[in-house]
Amino acid sequence: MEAALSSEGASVSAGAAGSCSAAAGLDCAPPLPPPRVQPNSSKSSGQIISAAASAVTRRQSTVGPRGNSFDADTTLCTTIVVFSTCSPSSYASSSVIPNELRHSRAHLLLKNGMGGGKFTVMACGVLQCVVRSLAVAALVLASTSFAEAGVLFSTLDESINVAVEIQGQNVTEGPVNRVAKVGDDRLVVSWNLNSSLMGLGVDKNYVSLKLRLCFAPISQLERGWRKTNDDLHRDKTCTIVIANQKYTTDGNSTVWRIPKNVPGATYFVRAYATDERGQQLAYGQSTDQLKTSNLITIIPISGRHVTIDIASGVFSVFSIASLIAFLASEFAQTSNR
Amino acid sequence: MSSNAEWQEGNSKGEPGSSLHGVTGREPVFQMTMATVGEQEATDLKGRKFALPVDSEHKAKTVRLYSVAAPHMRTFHLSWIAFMICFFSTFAAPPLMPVIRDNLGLTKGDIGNAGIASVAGAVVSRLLMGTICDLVGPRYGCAILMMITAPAIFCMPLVSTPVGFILVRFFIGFCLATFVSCQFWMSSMFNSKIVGIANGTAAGWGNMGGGIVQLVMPLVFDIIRRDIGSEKFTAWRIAFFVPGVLQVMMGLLVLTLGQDLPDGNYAELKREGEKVNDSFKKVFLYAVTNYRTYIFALTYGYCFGVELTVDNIIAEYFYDRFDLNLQTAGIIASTFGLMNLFSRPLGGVLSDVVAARWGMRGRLWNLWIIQTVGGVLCIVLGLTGQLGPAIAVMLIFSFFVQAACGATFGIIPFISRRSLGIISGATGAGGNIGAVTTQGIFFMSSKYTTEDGIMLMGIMIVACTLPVIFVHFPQWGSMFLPASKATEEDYYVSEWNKEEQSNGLHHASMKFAENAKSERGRQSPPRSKGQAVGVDQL
Repeated sequence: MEAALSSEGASVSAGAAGSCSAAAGLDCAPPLPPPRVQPNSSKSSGQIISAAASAVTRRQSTVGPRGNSFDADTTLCTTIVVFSTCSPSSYASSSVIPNELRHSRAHLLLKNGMGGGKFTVMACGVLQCVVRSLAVAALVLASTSFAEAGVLFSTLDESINVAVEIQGQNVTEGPVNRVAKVGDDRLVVSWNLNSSLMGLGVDKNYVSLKLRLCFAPISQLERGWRKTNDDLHRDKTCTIVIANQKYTTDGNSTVWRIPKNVPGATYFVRAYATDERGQQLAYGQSTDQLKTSNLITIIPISGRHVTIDIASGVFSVFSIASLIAFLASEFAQTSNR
Repeated sequence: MSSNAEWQEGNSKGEPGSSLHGVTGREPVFQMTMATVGEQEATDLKGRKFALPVDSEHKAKTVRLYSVAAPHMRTFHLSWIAFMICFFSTFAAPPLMPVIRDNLGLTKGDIGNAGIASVAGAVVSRLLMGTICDLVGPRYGCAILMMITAPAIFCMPLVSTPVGFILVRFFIGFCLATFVSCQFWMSSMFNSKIVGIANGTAAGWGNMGGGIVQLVMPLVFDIIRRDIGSEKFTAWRIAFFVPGVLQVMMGLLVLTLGQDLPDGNYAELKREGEKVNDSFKKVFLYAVTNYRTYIFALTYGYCFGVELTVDNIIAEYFYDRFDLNLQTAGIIASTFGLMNLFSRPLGGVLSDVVAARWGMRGRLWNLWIIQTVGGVLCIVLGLTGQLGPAIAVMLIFSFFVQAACGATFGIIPFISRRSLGIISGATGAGGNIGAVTTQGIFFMSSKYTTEDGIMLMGIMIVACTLPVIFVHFPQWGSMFLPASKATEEDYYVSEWNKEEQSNGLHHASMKFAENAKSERGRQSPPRSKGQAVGVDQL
């Protein structure tokens, strides 16, 4: 349904866009057709709009993890459809320009310069079209419902114990963070249910366990895109996925090789216990409440390569050298004359 | 009449600020001084016929967008594409900011500083570029600037610290001065009657580069990551070779295909300059003592400056606030810049249409209304929390902000005839300064979230557009005050002192004043001393 709508909308808009850009161009269009009454075109575009609107509201919108562009796809599709309300006849609508302006100096100036006062007519037609389609777009897209609020972190119990080690390094206590390198080092994350809560049925709804690498407060400073928010749908603290495991009462552990796209920062590990729908029920983390102890600093890759450095140098030299060569040859040419 | 020819040849070497005469290009021209050369006679120095109808200076009288005929249309396309690629390079980092900020460990302050640096360099380079074009010609000016800043673009893949990032963006930003060479080149190639439209279209299409880059860079990044298999932190570096290579290629194209003047290149032509050299000191003085210069520099800072600021922040804003992926955020952000395809030219056209009926007062109201509505929409954008409405508001906001830029340059030519070049340059510089200030106040520290920053920017736009109320032309009035008994001649000739007037230096200004009577609007009777001198009686 979505695909059919968007392909139809796209082909209509391609036609409309083609005439749009031709209309906005200069000295290129043949004389405009006389203004047409547009009940037919507006009725069909109205049908498209209402169909799109109902499709949009029917769709369940969720704020998914990064990479889920559900709402954006819907939005773009609807926008394409909406822009198809621009019919070529709107440009021909001569009611836009009042009669006294037709003979105005500005109009004549443009007409003489541009090979047609049609530029002003077209410009006003484009303006009209733009304003109309944007108004419709705003109406349709306003009906896009947005995500429901998520679970609040402050309502979760801390019923999981999480411990993290860097494989191959001794466990150290102390003020200095442990250091791990991406690509080389592995984190051994082990978790289990808090022993004081065993057998009390606290974990009867826990289906899976999500392990996440989370930014420590020091790495969130001055970086609003990593901000902590009590609403877990908007929380950006724990965006890096370590593993998703099935929940077992005995606990489990995993060995995670730190991937190369992890940014350099200070982290701790958090585990969320979730039910079958993915709603968080409880959590555990490898640090204290203030998130200041037991942190891990991860050293990233720089992203630079020797080949890139060399290519960069070669291109720069080429740019300057070819400029100098060109100027020199032109100077030689003119001084030889 | 030699003085006519002088005036029309406003951008020959020598006259201070003359390089920017074509920037606005709305200087009205006497019908009879644009002597038409028959197409059979119009040949350049090498005897080749021109493809377009030309005037006596061999400047084209019309613009044919679909043609690439040398020299006029080829120049048009070379210069707007060159300007567009410079915009592309300057704003190549913002759409990839979510990746770059993680790679380099940037804070909000670092990103803000880099954004400021990217537009700050152009404040100086735009002012210098006019002189360079006067001296060596726009072809060399444009090509040299592009090829000298290209190494800065190639340095971006090497950056590994925040300071390096800020420095590289600063040096890349110098290439925004191709705006001046673009406008200068157009005014050498196109007759004054149409140079306004040619310049407005080229400026608008060049500004589109800021939109196109938001589409292209995430796509290139994605292709490199998926198909070449690079890591994120390497892929963005490789992606930067695209703007760099484009800029070098364009610089070479400008050098090989470009031509300074319709008749040839500066070096090839013997220049016949019987120009009266104006005194730089005087021209500067009259620009600096005219309060309207400052008002329009301020207001341009809050339409063009806002456009530059939004180019810098909008992709990251959509990525962070609405949880989109990089490509989708880029597509949405690109629509802002792409609206320039028609919004900037339309702003100028609207100004002309309104002036035909209400004259200069109409132009002032037009500018004030468009820019204030833009400010209100900016406030709404900051307050909009849903994705769909935010896109819609952003689109409408972009139209108004860019139309305000076009409308501003509908008024600038009438502020002063003698100091037009410097005033135009000051306005352009004011645009960049506005961008620097806005980013510095609202988008640097974590004091304001980005959405609050956008909302406050909107309030600032409305506030900084209010000074338009105080712009008063004695001969035409202002927004709230009617015209006084003064005439256009009084206003424009007052820029010359008694001695200069006795030497006859003010004749061109007199003619300009005569043409400027169009700014009275439709219904006012002539108010000049004695009979109104008709065009055909001169």
